[in-house]
Amino acid sequence: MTDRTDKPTSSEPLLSVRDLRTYFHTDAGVVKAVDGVSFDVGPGEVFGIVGESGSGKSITAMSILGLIPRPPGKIESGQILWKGQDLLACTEGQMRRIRGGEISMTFQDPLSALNPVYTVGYQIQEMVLVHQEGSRRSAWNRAVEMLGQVGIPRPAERALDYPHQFSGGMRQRAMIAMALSCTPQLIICDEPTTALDVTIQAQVLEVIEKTAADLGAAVILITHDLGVVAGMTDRVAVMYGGQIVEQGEVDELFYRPRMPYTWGLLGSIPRLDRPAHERLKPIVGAPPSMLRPPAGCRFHPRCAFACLEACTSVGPELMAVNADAGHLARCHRIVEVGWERVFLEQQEERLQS
Amino acid sequence: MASYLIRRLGLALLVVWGAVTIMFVMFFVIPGNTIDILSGEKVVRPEIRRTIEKEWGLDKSVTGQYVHYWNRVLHGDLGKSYSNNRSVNELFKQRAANSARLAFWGLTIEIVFGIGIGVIAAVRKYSLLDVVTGFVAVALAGIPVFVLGLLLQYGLGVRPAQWNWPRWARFPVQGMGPNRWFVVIPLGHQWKYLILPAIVLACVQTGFITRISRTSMLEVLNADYVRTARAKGLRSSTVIVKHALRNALLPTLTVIGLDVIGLFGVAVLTETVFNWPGLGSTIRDYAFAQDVPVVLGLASIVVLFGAMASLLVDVGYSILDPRVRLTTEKVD
Ligand SMILES: Nc1ncnc2c1ncn2[C@@H]1O[C@H](COP(=O)(O)OP(=O)(O)O)[C@@H](O)[C@H]1O
Ligand SMILES: [Mg+2]
Repeated sequence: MTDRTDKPTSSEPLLSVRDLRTYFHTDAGVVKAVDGVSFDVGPGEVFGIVGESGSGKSITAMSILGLIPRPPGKIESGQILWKGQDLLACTEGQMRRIRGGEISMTFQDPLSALNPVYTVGYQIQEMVLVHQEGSRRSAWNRAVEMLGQVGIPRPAERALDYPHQFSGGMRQRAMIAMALSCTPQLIICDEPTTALDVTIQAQVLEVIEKTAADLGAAVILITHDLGVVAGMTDRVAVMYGGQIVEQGEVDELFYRPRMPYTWGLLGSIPRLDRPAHERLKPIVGAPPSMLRPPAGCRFHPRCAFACLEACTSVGPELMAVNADAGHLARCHRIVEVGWERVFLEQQEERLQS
Repeated sequence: MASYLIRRLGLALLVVWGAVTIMFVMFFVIPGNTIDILSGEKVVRPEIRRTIEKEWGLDKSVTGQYVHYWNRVLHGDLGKSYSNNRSVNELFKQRAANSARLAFWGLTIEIVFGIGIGVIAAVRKYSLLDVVTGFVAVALAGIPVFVLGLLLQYGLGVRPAQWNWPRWARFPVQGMGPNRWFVVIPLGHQWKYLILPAIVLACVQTGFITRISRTSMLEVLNADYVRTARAKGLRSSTVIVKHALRNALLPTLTVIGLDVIGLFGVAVLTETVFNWPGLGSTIRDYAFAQDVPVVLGLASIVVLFGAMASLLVDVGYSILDPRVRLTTEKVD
């Protein structure tokens, strides 16, 4: 973990998403689910994407793998450079080799993401057979080996079970085993801990961290819980309304956040030092409609600090805050003197009250 | 699995017993002039009436007759016709194969075309093919069997004969022709007699099956596990056949199972329109003659086959869908 944090992110990135725009053309209008997202992921790096439900995290991930249902979805513009090659220009055949073989993904809700009519072992074996040379026998052995690696007890036996015979945590482990079975260089985990209870959450995160590190695979960890990314990621992007609103190294983001939305997310992390009813402080208001996003800063209707003229009329750019830590934030007020202290003062107040 | 099968079999037998009992009571309660049919005369003398009643067991109470009936049926004897004294077993043997062959081809056509067209329509959603087949499916499902039968007879049989079309373009419209089969496979010209009634028999349900398999296929194509299959790097043909179709077949199979039973009603009409010598047209003929033993006997067997067919469908379902198999949930 520690040796990863200081890996230079400025070297040639493994994945580089540039100004990605994925829209859904629905009867009600155009839903701009992903609206100009850019980020890089280096080899072996653990990158976190955080945001409330509906902020465009899953669609970003699915755009990378070319899994957007079309129609109604369409990648309107942007580039997805995988080791320098633009995935958006790839043929279906090239994409097939990359999917699962080089970039793999685990999905939210593993019960519906695993096919109910095939055994867990078969579903992993099938994938191994596509990407690796070898017999059915050896592919099956690989499936059993992977199930063992993610901590499923008696893997040879459990490989013969169907997904509905697994518990929630075991299913998530099985998805991870599948995703890592063909030694990808990048694994995208979409909300791997949602719907799991806290102890299982910690175990699953540990499995992802350990197995990915063993394989030297980079990880994109998607979650709506900043607490989940805190201990595990190198860098984090915060998404809101289809855009990245703040991004940077994890410590920088946690200790010197500049965007009021990130402050809100930090405020909603459970804190063990406070009584249960005080621990959670959710951000007031509802996430924006992606069909008709608010004018100006998309967060302004929920922002306690949106007092500038520009907040309601001009969409702020993602601006560099601290170039060394790769810290970017999307807020008109970050240029103000003493802005970074506003958050700290708030924290103080919360701790005292 | 075994205990599930046994319970399911028990249920099927219960259904057969219930259906036969209901039919028995129904036929018994319906006022009829059984004795007139049996004696073949308008005015029956009392002593003859009594002899006849004794001979056919009609002097016993309803319960007595019911017990007697089951006793006979369980010994493999379905009884004799009131009107011509023929054994129902014999009638069944003569006609069942004809019906079975027609039903086999009807079902095959509806399954192959119904599922095939439904799946293609779903995969090519909103294409011209989807729109056209959707329209045709609705039309087919709504058209009465008689009308469709007569239309086909006219268009492919009567008209071609009038206009002296080449032989291959003409289809016979009545009867079963040479009666040459290898099990269910028609030999020689037999297929020309078979094809029109088989199409008519299939049409109504083909429409339904097309719609059902299209709908369930569309739903399944949006399922998370289909997306997972694509994310694994599988070919789209593998994704569609192995991951989507197999799941989409489940609701379709249920419809087909129900349909095997419903097929009989359509078969009566189809066999009548085409004068096909099967069980359906036989039951119709004897029903007009108020010949209770024949109708009851043949109908009981049909119910038995229907129950077995739906049992088979259930077994097929549990093979396709492991969640139905009654294995014990494992906890970890
Ligand atoms: N098939 C679709 N049709 C229309 N809108 C969609 C579709 N899929 C996703 N969206 C929209 O895209 C936005 C982002 O969704 P998603 O990426 O799944 O959010 P999350 O951050 O919770 O993963 C949401 O507002 C959602 O309504
Ligand atoms: Mg999501």
